[in-house]
This record gives sequence, structure tokens and C-alpha cells, in this order.
Amino acid sequence: MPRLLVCYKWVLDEQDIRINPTDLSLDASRAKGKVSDFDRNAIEAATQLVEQLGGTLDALTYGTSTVKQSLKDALSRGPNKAYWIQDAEAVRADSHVIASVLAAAIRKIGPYDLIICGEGSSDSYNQQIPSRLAELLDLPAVTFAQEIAGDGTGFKIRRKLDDCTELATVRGSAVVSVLGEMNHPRIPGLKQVLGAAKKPSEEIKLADLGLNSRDLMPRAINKSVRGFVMKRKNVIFKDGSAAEKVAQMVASLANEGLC
Amino acid sequence: MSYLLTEEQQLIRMNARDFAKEHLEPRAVHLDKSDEFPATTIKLMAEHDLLSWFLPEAFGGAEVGYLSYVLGIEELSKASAAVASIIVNHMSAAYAVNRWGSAQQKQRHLPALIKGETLGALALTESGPSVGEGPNAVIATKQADGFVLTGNKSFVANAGRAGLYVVFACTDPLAGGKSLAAFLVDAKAEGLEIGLKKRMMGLRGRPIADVTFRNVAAELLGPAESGVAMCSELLSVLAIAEAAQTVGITAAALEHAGKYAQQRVQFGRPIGAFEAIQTMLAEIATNCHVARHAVYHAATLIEQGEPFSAEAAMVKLFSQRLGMHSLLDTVQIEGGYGYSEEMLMAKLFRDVSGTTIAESPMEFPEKLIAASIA
Repeated sequence: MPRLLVCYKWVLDEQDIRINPTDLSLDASRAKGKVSDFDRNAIEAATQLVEQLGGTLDALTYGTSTVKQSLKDALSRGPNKAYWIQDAEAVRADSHVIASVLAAAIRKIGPYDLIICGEGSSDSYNQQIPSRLAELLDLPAVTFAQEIAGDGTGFKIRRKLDDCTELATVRGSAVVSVLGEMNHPRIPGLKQVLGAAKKPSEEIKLADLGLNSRDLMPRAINKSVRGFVMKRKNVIFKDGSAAEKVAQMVASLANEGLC
Repeated sequence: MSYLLTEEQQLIRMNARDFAKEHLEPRAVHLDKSDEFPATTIKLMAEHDLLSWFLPEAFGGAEVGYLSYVLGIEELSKASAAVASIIVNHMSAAYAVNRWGSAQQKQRHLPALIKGETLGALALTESGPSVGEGPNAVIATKQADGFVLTGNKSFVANAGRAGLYVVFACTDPLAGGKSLAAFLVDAKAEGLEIGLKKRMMGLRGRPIADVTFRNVAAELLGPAESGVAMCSELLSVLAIAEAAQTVGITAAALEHAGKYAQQRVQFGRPIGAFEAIQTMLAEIATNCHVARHAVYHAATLIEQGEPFSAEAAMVKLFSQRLGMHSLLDTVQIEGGYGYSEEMLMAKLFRDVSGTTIAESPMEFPEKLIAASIA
């Protein structure tokens, strides 16, 4: 029976984030949390594997003080047990820190046959965690999976690459990232939501993971995030003949570096 | 009483919203145009426990309570008030079975209602001045092995699709409405006839028809002498759910009009920058907020076993005003586009008129509210 782990991130729901029109700063004060969209695909993929093959599925997440709010949502989607690591500094964590924390936690609660992640998070979408996790855990990384099938002895994973698909056979443990197109995440029913409250969850203390200051030091500093608003210049070329107006327009586009 | 939603209630609301966006919203316009009963959608909703809400776990229900129920109905109504209305009528019938049914009646009917194998309907309205007073009033006559019903019910929601009807009928023609009692009627019972489906202004897809009873076998539900009180309670439960529908439709209209006001430019500025538009949007948002929390409060009273008839009348009264006034304003904000049948607002306008007109408390809401003050 396979033992699976799915990693997920608790992110702000982008639908609730407002862009301040004056300085394009983001107002997330009323934004609610949600399981990152791509991680929902990862949870669905892992849940389907357990439904087909049997075995167990754990969920693991790392985040700020709000991360505990994610547990019932994650558990209602299929996992049997959830682990969480809470850290006030997680708000500044980059891919290096997140992967270091998750890898240390997996060493503590593992081993697992497959560690499944989404292709990226729906907030920063750096797509680095699966590869970094594999490196830190000394496991193969099978990224951009669009299909996973298990036969009891291992897993066959179809990867979608730029110009081809690749079929990988995995014997032993591996880290897999799944594409958003891979499946359609289920919407938990009322009973799944109630059932989540009865499933076990366990906090892993950051201090118990044996990480040093280098592991927890972000390599990338996020200086600011601003909204993008498309502005129209409303330039109208109305003088001259049709040919002259076209020439003026082409010259203007060239001046903007657009042609 | 807590005024904050629990984690489970927040999740239930979010999942209902996701379900509505994925399964109801894309089909809502087609449903409105075709007026076809959304059988596949209702089946899918049963699979997601959306026909079980407050019904007991012992019969397969989710037993998540009335507050979760109205949270869900509000979200479903934002995407398709017609589908939400089918569920509200189904759940009202299921409420009656669960509240007043015998152990055998619950065992016989609740599992099928929860799984969606049987759709419920509530048959109350008659063509006379009030129930039991018209020439076609439904009269229940006692027989050796139960009752038979004779008469006609009007505007029965889910008619023709329901497998189980909760029917209020008079046991004494001379006493009229004072002798009201509740009955369960199997849709396959001999003598039950469904009239032609009525074409309604809004909430299209929810079937509405008259139902005629010609010596139809019926089973008494609850104590015969408590029919008036049962009917009053059931209509109060229904009023709260319908107010949740009104809030959902109004919230959808507000969101749509708010976006429109930001995009529509007049005199060099988005119309949302003009004070007149801001005032309209602010009024709607405030009334919607107040109505929403009044609905949550009334639902919590049911959940906690507290009296709720006056509060149900209040939310019905307030949501009636909220719905029609707000939708008139959102149509105005969108101007010609709001008036066009090609756009969403016209449909929302027609739908909200359905949720505000539908079954009211037995008395005028104002009378019930005044009585609660005296």
C-alpha cells in the first residue's frame, strides 16, 4: 500500500485583493485564505491514487498564523491526516526557505512513496518547490505530470514537456509536480466538510526541525508587489489623408517599441 | 449566540459558491430561456449533499444546521435562483417530514429525499381568499384506513417532478382554515393530477402547476389539531430561506452593477465616480448587509430551538423591499443594458420578483411583527 504526501500552500484568494487605483498598491485586508489552486490539483491527484490503490495520504503545509485555518479545507478534499508548521516569518519565506522547512518536516514524518506538489503556487508561481524538495531529500523529481498511474510496484508518470510528452517509470520514492490541467478538483460535499473535523492533524514545531539560520534566511527579497492596470492612451490620428494617418500610427507604434 | 461563522460554516459557504460557479452559473441563462427542469443538476446536487442540509445524520443527512442551509441557499441563488428555489421547496417539504413525521414516516421518506431519489413539494396555496375558504378548497375526509383528499391546490412549486407532496387540507369544511391539517401524498397516488406547467415571469426552470386531488389517499402528518401552527411554522422556515434567496440575487445584482459602474464611462469619468451612482450602490450594499445578517440571525434561532416567527416575518418584509427596490436601482445603473434581455440584470430582476412574492407567512408580516411587540 503506497504512502503518499501532498504539499500545499495556504494563499490569499486573489479575487478578494483590491488594487488601489492611485498608486496600484494591493489591499489584501479583506482577502480570505484558500488552498492554492494548483495544490488543489495535487490533492485531487493524490486522493484519486489512494482511492484506486489504497494506502494513506498525508498533507503538509507551512505558513503564518493563519495556516491552521487551512486544515479542514485540505482534509475535506481527501487526505487522511494533516501536518502543519506555523511560522510568523513565513510571510517573507522564499522558495529556498519553504523547501528547507518542508524537506526537514518530511524527514521527520516520512518516508513516503510519492510526494506530490502543485506545479506552482497561485500567489508567487515560482515553480521551484518540487525540484528543490527533490534535491534536499535526494529523490528524483518528476515535474509537470499530466497523468499518474500506479500498479502496486511503482508509478508510471506522463510528463508534458514543451514539444513532447515523456513517460517516466518510478520505482522507489520521488517528488512529483502535477499540472493544473491534470484533473478537475472535487468540490467537497457537506459530509466531507464535517468529516474533516474528525480527521487527525498535528503541528510540527519549527524549532524541532533542526534547521539553522542559513536554512531560514530568504535568498530572494520581495520589495513590492503592485497591481497591473491596462491604461489606454486614447491617441487618435485624425489629420491628413488615410495613408498619412496610417503612417502616423505606425510611426507612433514604432516609437513605443511595439513594431 | 456567536456572530462569527465557524470554520465549517465558512467552508460550506465557499464550497456552495464554488459549486454554483462551476455547475449553476454556466447553465443559468439556458435554464431561464428553456424553462426546462434541471434534473441532471439536481441529481448532482444530491451527490454533493445539497439536498440534505439540516436533515439528521441518522437518515443520511448532513445535519449541518439552518445557518449553513441559508448560507448555501444565498450562494446558490447568486448563480441560479431558480435551482435554489427548487431546493428551498424540497427542503421545506423535508423539514415538515422531519419535524412532524412519525418514526416510520421519517424512515420511509427522509433517506429518499436526502439522496434526491424523491423530490419534495409543498402544496398550500388555493385559489380562494385563503386556505380552506374557496370553492375548490382541499378537504380531507377520514376513512377507515386513513384520509382521502379532494380539491385543488394552486401554484405548487416542483409540481410534476415531486415524488412526495406535503399538503395542507381542511378536515372540516364548515370550520375552513381553522381545521387545517398536514398530509403526505405520494405523487403516484391514484386521483392526483398535475395541471399544465405555468409560464412564470422569473425563476424559470422551477416547475409550477396546479395540483388536483380526486379522492387521493393521504397520510396524516403530525397532530391533526395542530395544522394551523404547523403551517405557520413551515411558512416561517420557508420565508427565511426565500429571504436568503433574495439576498443572494441582490448581492449578485450589486456585484454586476458595481463592476459596470467602474467600466462605463460618461462625461469622461466612470459613472461609479458620480455621487448619484455611489449613493444607489451604497444603499443597496447597506440594505443587503442588514438583510443578510437578519437572515442569519433568524436561521440561528431555528437552530437553537428559539421562537422565530416574528423574525421570519421581519426578514420576509425587509427582503421584499430590499429585493424590488435594489433591482430597480441596479437596472437604472446599467441603463439600456440593464433593461436588455440579452444581459444578466433583466433576469435577476425577474427572479427577485419571484422570491419576494412567493409564499408569505400565514398572516401579513406586519401583523405578525406587531403581535410580537404587544
